[in-house]
Amino acid sequence: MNSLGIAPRAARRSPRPLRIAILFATACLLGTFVGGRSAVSLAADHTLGIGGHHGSPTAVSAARELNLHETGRLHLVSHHNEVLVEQGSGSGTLNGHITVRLTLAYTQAAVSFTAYTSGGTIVGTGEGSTYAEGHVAHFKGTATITGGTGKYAHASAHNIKLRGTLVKKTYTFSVEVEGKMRY
Amino acid sequence: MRKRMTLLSLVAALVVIAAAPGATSAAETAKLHVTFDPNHLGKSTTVHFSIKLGATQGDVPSPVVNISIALPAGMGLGTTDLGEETCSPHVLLEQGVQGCPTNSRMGLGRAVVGLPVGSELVENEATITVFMAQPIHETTSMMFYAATDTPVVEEEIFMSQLLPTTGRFGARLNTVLPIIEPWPEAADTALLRLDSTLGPSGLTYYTRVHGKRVGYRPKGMDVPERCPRGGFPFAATFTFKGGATLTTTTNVPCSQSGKHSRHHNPKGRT
Repeated sequence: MNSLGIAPRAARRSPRPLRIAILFATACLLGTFVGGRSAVSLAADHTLGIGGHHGSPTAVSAARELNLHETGRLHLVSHHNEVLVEQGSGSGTLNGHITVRLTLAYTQAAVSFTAYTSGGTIVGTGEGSTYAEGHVAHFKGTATITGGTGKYAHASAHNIKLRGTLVKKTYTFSVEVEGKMRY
Repeated sequence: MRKRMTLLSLVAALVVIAAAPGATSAAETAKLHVTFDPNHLGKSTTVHFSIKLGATQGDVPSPVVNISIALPAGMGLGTTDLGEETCSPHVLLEQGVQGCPTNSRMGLGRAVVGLPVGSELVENEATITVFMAQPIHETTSMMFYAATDTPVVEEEIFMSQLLPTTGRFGARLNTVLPIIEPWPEAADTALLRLDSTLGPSGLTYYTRVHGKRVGYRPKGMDVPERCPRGGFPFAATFTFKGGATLTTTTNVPCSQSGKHSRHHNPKGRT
């Protein structure tokens, strides 16, 4: 210790909280270089991302993206004029149970759906065109995912492709879903 | 010898001629009458169409080349049994009605055509059978098969497509009619009357139950559960040879029996 009470340079060490802050700031700078806009976009399973263009820690948002490829096979629950309520199982990127409300007009169809997955529910609506080919009615259109619960509370998607067929005698409904969902 | 429509005529019949709704023809008159049988809200029904064409001057209207019938919203074909199977123009022309699956029939009717011969008008009646066809460009399609035995055995197929529309109608059934020239240099045959059904009335479908063939009545389109004020609207637009068009409308009255719609109960009773 010199006459001013300052420790020699070699013996001087920064206090513990300051060391932690320096380490954290360094991690922030490294994160922005690695992830570009956001480390979140690296993989669908990525957890917390480090945002901010200047490397400063900001509020974290889990903006994940998922490529949906789903196949559903549903059976009739109720039928009232043009409105069918169908339920069944879905498999693909997300496995689970699906409930669909299908309104079949002459040439147009509207659909609303809820998918029940292990991570939560996903809800949305869609519309498209329909035509009959003998005992089968074909449906083709697009859907929008509007939200959900649990992991998918902030789920959203536009222009999800829908393709389905309805066997008119049994009301068995098969559907294929393809598109990108953010959640 | 059976006269058969050539493949070229059939292909020509698939061309949809654009109509100009609202324009009227100075020489032709048209009447459209539609009924539901039965007429019960929310129940399966057969739609009966009746069309009469006339001329303000002379006896025979110009040949009609396209008929577009606008259908009320809420009566979709998607959940009916009608047209459970399909038939093709080729099979119809080769084998007639018997060549098509019974479960492809969607309606029955008759047509009366007129042919000016000298100063006389010769009328000829044909039976009509409506069949479900294979889709055309991803649209529900049907065939109106007209067959007559006198004075000659003749058959014609009119292709019809269910197309989207806007406003208070749900869709339009667009049917193309080829011009029929019975012999070279003859006047064109003109449609005078067309009565046809779209629904289970008069139809029997068949299925197998425990190996036995069992007949049943197919389910038709449902009468919507709510009847709009004034009844269920229909409109028919006729396009004649030469391009003139004529539109006529009609309403099927709301049923006075069965379930009542909100429009029949202004106090909200159900």
